[in-house]
Amino acid sequence: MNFLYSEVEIVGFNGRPLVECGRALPVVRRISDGKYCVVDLQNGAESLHWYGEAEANHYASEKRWTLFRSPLNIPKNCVSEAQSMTIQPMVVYTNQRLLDNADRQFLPDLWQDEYLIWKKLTNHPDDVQATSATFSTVATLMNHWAEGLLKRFDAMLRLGRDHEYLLRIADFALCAANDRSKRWEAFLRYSIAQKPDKVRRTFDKMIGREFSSVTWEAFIESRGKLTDVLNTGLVAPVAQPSSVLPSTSSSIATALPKVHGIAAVTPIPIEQLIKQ
Amino acid sequence: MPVLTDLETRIQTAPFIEADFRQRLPSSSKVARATPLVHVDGRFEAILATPPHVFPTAESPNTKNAEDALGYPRSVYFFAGRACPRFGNVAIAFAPSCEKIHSGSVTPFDSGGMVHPDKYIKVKLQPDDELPSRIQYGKESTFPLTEWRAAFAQILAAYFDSDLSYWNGRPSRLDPEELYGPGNSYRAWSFEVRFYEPHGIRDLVAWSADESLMNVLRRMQDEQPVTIPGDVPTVLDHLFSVPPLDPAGSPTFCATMESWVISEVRL
Repeated sequence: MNFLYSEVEIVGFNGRPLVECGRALPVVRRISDGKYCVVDLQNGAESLHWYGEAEANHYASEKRWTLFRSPLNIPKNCVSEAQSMTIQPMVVYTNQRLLDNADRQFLPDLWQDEYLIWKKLTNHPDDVQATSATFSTVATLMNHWAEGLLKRFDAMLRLGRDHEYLLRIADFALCAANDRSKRWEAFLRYSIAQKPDKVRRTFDKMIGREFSSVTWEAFIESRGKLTDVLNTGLVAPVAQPSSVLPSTSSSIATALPKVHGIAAVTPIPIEQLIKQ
Repeated sequence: MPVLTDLETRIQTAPFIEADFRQRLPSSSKVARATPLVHVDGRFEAILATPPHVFPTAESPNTKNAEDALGYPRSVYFFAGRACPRFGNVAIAFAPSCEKIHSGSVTPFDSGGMVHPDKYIKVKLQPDDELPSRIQYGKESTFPLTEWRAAFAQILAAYFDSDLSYWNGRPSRLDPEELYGPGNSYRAWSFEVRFYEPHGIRDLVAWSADESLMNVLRRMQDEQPVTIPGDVPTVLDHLFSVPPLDPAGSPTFCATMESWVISEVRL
C-alpha cells in the first residue's frame, strides 16, 4: 500500500545529530490519523511500521528521533506521477560551524533542481538545520561540503596550521563525505593530521575495512605522495558549485590518479583560495 | 501458549497443511537454533565510555509499566533476528550461546505493544480486549529462555509460507486470537527475548551503526591512547576487533543487520 505524498509530512528524522553533519531516514506523520513512521522504502511502503502519538513523543524524548520545529512536505522529486511517494527521501542536517569551515556559509535553497526548505530542530541550537531531499541530492550536497573542507585543509596545511586544527577539519570532511573517492581523500588528510602513532590503528580499524583492496603499504605510499604534493604549495583549483556532479563509487584505481593529478594542476595563490 | 495451543490439532485442518508442516519443521528448527539475538541501542557511546560496558535493563516508563503488568523483572531487550531503527542508532547481534549465562523469558511478540493502553498490537480475546485479558494473554504466551527456540521453529513452520517470511514478509495463516491478522505489523510476530540481567557487549558477533555514530566512534578511538602490545584491549579495541558490517555506517543499518542475519541462518 503506497501513500499519497499529500497525506504525510516530514516531522523529523531517525536518530540524533551526534556530529556536525549527517543524513538520516525521515520520520513522517500521517495527517489523517496522526500516526508516525520511519520512512525506509527498501522493502516497499507496505513494510512501514506506524506508531501512535504517545510512542512518537516517547521516542523523541528519548532522543531516538529528532523532530523539526515545524513540518516539511515530502520532496516533490520523491513523488511519482500518481502522487505516491516512490523514491526514498532522506534528511540532511548540518551546523553553521561546519559550513563556515567548508566556505559554504549559506544553506542552498536549490540543489540539483530540488528546492530545499531548511528547518530548525527541537531542543537544538538555532544554527543546526535540516532539510529533506532525494537520496542523491542529499549525497551530492554533503560531498559538496566535504569538498570545501578538503580545500580548506590543503590551504591551512600549507599555511602551517597546527595538527589539532587540521584534524578537526579532516574530521568534519569525514562526517560530510559519503562518496567513495571523497572519503578516501578525507581519510588520507585525516591520517596526515593524526599523531603518527595512531595512523596504523585508524588504518586497521577503519580505512582498511572501508577500502578493503588497499594494503597498508599502498596507503602509506598514497599518504606520502599527497603530503609531498601539499608541501610543494601546489593546490587544487577551487571547484565551482556547478562542477560538483554526482560521483559514482570510484575504485582506488580511479581515486589515486585524482590525488596524483593534483601536481599537474595550475597552482592558485593561497591568498586567493583563502578569500574564497 | 496461545499461538501454539492445540497446534497439533490445528495443523490438521485448513488453511494448515500438516504434511508441509512436518516437512518444513526440521529446516525451521535449524533456522531457529541459529538465529542470533539482536539489540538496537540509542546510548551506545555512553555504554562504551562507562565501565562495566553493559547494556542495562530498560529504564523507560512504558517498558517498566509493561514489565510490572506482566510480572517480568527489569530486563534487557532483544529481538530474535530482527532489528528496528526506532530503538537507536546501532544494531548489535549476539550468538545464541549468550543465553546460557542469563535468566530471562521470551514472548512471540513485542510485550510492551501488547499491554500498552493504546493497544499497539491488535488481538481478539475472550471475554474482552481489556487490559486484564491482554495481561493474561501475555503471561500465557511467555516461554522460559531455555525453550523458546523450539516454539520459534514450530511457529515458522506452521504459520509462515517460508522461514524467510519472518523477516521479509508476514505470517500467512491466522491464529484464533488473530495476532497474525492483517492489522498487525512485525511487532506482532517478532520474538522478543528478555534477559533479566545487564548484558555485556564483549560477546557480540556482528554490528552495524548509522553514519553519525561511526563518526563518534572514530573520534573516541582517536582520543584513546595507543594500545601497547600485550596490554588488555580496551572495550573500543574489542568492539573494532569485530568488523562493522558497513565500515562507513549507513542510515539503513538495521536493514544491513537483518541481511546479515538472513545469511547467517543460511536462508
